[in-house]
Amino acid sequence: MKETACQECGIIIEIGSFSPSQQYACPRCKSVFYRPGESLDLVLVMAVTSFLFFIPAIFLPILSLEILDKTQSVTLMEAVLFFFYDGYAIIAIIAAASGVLIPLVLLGLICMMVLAIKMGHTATKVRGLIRLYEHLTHWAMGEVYLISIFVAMVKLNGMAVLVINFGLFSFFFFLISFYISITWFNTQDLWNQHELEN
Amino acid sequence: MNWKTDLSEGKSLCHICNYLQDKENKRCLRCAEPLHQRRPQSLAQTWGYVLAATLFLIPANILPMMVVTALGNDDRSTIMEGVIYFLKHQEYGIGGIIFIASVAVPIFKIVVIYFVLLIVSFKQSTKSKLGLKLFHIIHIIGKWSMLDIFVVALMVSMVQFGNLASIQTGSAAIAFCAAVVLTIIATLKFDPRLMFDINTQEDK
Repeated sequence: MKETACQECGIIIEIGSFSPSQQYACPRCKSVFYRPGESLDLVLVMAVTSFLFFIPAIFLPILSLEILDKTQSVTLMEAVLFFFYDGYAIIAIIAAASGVLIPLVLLGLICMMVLAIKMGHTATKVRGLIRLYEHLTHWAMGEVYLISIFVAMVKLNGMAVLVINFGLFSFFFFLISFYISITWFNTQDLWNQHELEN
Repeated sequence: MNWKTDLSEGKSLCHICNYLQDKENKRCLRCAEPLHQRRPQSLAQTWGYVLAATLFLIPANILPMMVVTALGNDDRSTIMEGVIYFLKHQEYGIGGIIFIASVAVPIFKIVVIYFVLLIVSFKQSTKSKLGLKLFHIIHIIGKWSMLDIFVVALMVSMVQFGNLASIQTGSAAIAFCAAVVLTIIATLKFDPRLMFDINTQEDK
């Protein structure tokens, strides 16, 4: 018997026997309050894959532009840091943080939490990380950043000749695997794992 | 039907780890997050953020978003002009995406936040389910209005050819960014349970 309450409308819900592989919705407002995540092993594999794609993404050029006979290639690092010279630091910080840095931090947190659980620690040991993760997760906008790259490419297509470099592909795969790992990962599973064992 | 709620049972739910416990606890017993039955000052803070966001939307739509300099000519374009540019060049897909992300979504979000705030203020308990449904939608689509900000940020950093061609951000970029961020904070501050609390009180 497990007693919980709906996050959205506040009613008390009693669950006869809780099984972590099932989805649960509130009987009054119909909002889902537990969605099963994938197994922690899969999440860890996805998060590590994402890290591996990030390394070439940050150092290799993502795009080359040609106007008349001038060529210029940009790396992601330059694209993120350029704003600091331009005077619009606020936008630069928000774009860099929500598009690249927060996804990275979240991936790091996922790896640390999953590894700690795998090494036999309880979720209470990593509760600080869980709280940080839950607060930051609202601000991760990797998927929006991804689409914005394509929109920017279409816009630039009229002005200059575009050459797509390998860095863009690895950044694309970084964001895709980041997105998959946060959808698969569910912090409630960390607590459940601990409670089901007891 | 009479529902038991966390208010009537004297319990509170941790918003981080969903652990239901006695409302006397200052911090969650399981994850140590500060514990409140309802988000503190939810209504006042949501009103504040959403009003600020509404004000920022006005300069965001009037001022230029991006200044494109090509071969010595300055070309300033606002958000709507950017959309019209794509429609003129038969790029209906991209034009549609930008229109939805930077014009329709921000306005829709702000209207929905006013709607749920008014539900709570005027105790319209029959509309609370509709309000929650709309609130869920804006929670999901909320981050997509950052799209235009990212596009501008990327284009500025990519196109720097000196006098030949360069792109600067316009002043609307900051206003629009502020509007979007403030709306996201407003949705995080609003506690949807407030809409249902009036409902349960009337049942009794």
